[in-house]
Amino acid sequence: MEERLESKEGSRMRKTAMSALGTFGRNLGLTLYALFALFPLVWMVICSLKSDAEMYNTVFRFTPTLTNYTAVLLGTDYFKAFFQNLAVAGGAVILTILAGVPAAYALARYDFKKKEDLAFQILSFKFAPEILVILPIFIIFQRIGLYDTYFGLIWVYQLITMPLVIWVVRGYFEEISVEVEQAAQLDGYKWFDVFFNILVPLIKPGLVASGLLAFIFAWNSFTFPLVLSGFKIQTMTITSLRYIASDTVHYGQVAVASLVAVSPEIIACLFIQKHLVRGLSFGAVKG
Amino acid sequence: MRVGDSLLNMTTSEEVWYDRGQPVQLEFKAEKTHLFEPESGNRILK
Amino acid sequence: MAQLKLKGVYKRYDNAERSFFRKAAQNDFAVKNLSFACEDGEFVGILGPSGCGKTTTLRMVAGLEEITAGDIYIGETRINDLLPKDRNIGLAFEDYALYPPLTVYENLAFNMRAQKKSDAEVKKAIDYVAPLLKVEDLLGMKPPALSGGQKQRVNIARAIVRRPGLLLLDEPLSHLDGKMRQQLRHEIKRMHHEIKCTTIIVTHDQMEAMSLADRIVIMKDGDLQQMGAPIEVYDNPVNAFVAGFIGEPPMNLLSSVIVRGDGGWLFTFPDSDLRVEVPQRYHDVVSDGMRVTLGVRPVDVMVANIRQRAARLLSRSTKIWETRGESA
Repeated sequence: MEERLESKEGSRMRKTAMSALGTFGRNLGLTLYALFALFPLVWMVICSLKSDAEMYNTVFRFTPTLTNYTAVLLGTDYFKAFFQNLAVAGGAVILTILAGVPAAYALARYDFKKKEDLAFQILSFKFAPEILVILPIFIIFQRIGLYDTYFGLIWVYQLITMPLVIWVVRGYFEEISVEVEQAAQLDGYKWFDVFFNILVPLIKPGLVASGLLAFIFAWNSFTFPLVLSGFKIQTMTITSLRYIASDTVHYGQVAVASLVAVSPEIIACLFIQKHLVRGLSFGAVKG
Repeated sequence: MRVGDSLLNMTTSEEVWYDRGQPVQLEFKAEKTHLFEPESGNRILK
Repeated sequence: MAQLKLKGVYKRYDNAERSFFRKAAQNDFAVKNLSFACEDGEFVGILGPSGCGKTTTLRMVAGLEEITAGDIYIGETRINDLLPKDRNIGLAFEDYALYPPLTVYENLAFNMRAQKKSDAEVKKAIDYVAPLLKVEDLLGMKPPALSGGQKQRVNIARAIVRRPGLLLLDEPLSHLDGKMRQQLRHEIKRMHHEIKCTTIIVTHDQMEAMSLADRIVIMKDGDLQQMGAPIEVYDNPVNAFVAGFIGEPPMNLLSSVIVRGDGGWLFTFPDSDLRVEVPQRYHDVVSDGMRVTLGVRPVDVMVANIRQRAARLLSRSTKIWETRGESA
C-alpha cells in the first residue's frame, strides 16, 4: 500500500517535472525562433544608428548617431515617396475591392460557361513572373500615356492584388447559404440591402485579411514601379536604391529607408494579426 | 415469412413463438387487401 | 389566411438555370402537370422521396423558382408574376438561412423593418410569436451561438412573425435528432392550432406528414400520386407506389396470378404452394390467369392456427394455407 502510494507520488512528481520541462522547452524554442526572426530587424536598427565608417565592424559597441536619419528624412524627399507609395498601394487595394468583391460574388453565385476556367485565369495572373510581362506593359504604357502616373501603377498592381482578394472572398461567399439571400428577398429587401446588411458583415474577416495582404504585396512591389515610373511617381522601394551611390553604398541610409518602409506593415500586422489568421483560414461564417 | 421468391412481413403478437421452418396457417384481413395492376401499379377497384 | 390553388403546374430546369447537382434532370420536368388545392387554414403535407419535385413545388409557390407552365393562385390572385415579397407568404428554409450578423430579435424583425413598421409594432409581433416557439430566451443571441433545434425554432418564428397568409415549411425537422424532432413536431402542431394559418410542409418523412397534416400530397418523379387525409392514403392507396411508400413497416407487395380453383378464385404465387382466396369484392373484375400485385400490410396478416383468434376473425378474413411455408 505504502509502496504504491509512493510510486504514485513519484509518477506525479515525474509528470509535473516533465510538464515543467515541456513548458520550459517550448518557451526556449519560441524564444530562439523569435531571436532568429527578429534579428534582421534588430540588425537594421543597429545599422541605421551607425555611421558609414563603423558600418563594417561587427562588434555591437559603437557610437550611435542620428546622422542617417537626418540625411534621409530631412535631406531627401523621402516622405514624398512614402505618401506616393501609400497612394499607389492604397489605391490599388481600393480598386481591387470595388471590382473584386462583385467579381467574387459572381464567381460564387452564378453559373456560366467556362466559369472555373475564368476563375483559374484570374489566379494565373499571379503565376507569371513580373519581369516576363514588364516590357510589353512598359511599351504599351508609354504609348497610351499611363507611364509614370498614379493610375498606371494602380492599374498594373491589380495583377498582384486582384487574384488574392477574388479567391479569398469567393470562398467566403460560397460558404454563405444562398437561402440567406432568398430569405431576405422574401422579407422584402432589395439585393443591394441584403448585400450590405447581411453579406458584407459575413465576408468582412476575409475581406480585411486578403485586403491587407494585398496591400502589403502592393506596398512591397519593386519591379513594376522600377520600370513603369520613376520621375513623377517614386515608391519607397525605388527611392531606397538612391542611397546606393556610384562611389559608395550608404548602408546606414538604406537601413533608415527600409525601417520607415516596413513600419506601416509592422504596425498593421500587430493590430490585425488575429484577424489575419482567422480571415485566411475561413470558418465562423455559418449561420 | 417466405412466399415463393418474395418475403412476406407480418407482425405477430408477443406471446407466440414459432420455430424456424414451421409451417403456419395464415389469413389476410379481406377488407385490408389491395390489388394493383403489375405494370402500371394502379389499383384495381377501390 | 388564404386558399392555395395549383393548376397544371410544370417546372423544367433549362440549361441556363442548370447547376451542378441538377445536371441529371436537365431535359426532364421536375414537376409535371401538378394540380391541387389547399383550403383556408388547412395543414397540407407534401410527401415523397428525394428528387420527387416537392421542394421545387414549394419554391415555385414562394416565388424563388420560375413557373414553367400553369398557374398558382393564392385566394383569387394569380401569383405567377408577383415578387416573393408580395405573395404574403412565410417560408422556413431547410437550412435555417438565418442572418448570422443579426441577433435573433433582429432576425425576427427584419421583415417588419423592411415594411418600416414602428418599434412598438415590431415588439408586439415578436412578443406574440416568441413564446409560441419558445424562443423568448434567445432573442439577444446571434444565430451562430444557437443549436440546430433553436435555429429551426427561430427560422419558423421568423416565417410566421409577419402573419403570412400562407406558411411554407421546407423539411423543418430533417436536421434534428429524434427527441428534438418529436418535440418540435408537437410545437408546430400547436403553433398551427394557435394561428390557424394555411400551412404546407414538405417532408420525406411519412411520420411527420401523417402526424401533422390534415391532408397529404404524395409525389413521385414530379407527378402527383394521391392527395387525401392520412388515413385515406393509408387505407386506400391509389397505386402500388403509394401503398409501398406509406406505412411502416411497408406493405407487402406480392406478384400473384389469379386462378379458378374448386371453391372459387384463388391467388397463386410463383414458386410457392401458397393459395389465398380472392375476396368477394374482387370477383367481378378478376379472370383466369390474370396477373396482379397483391398488397397486404404486415399487421393485416394473421396466423390462423391460434384458435380463438382465428374463430373471431374467420367471418371477415381470407384463409390461406401455406403448406410448405417457413416461419419468419
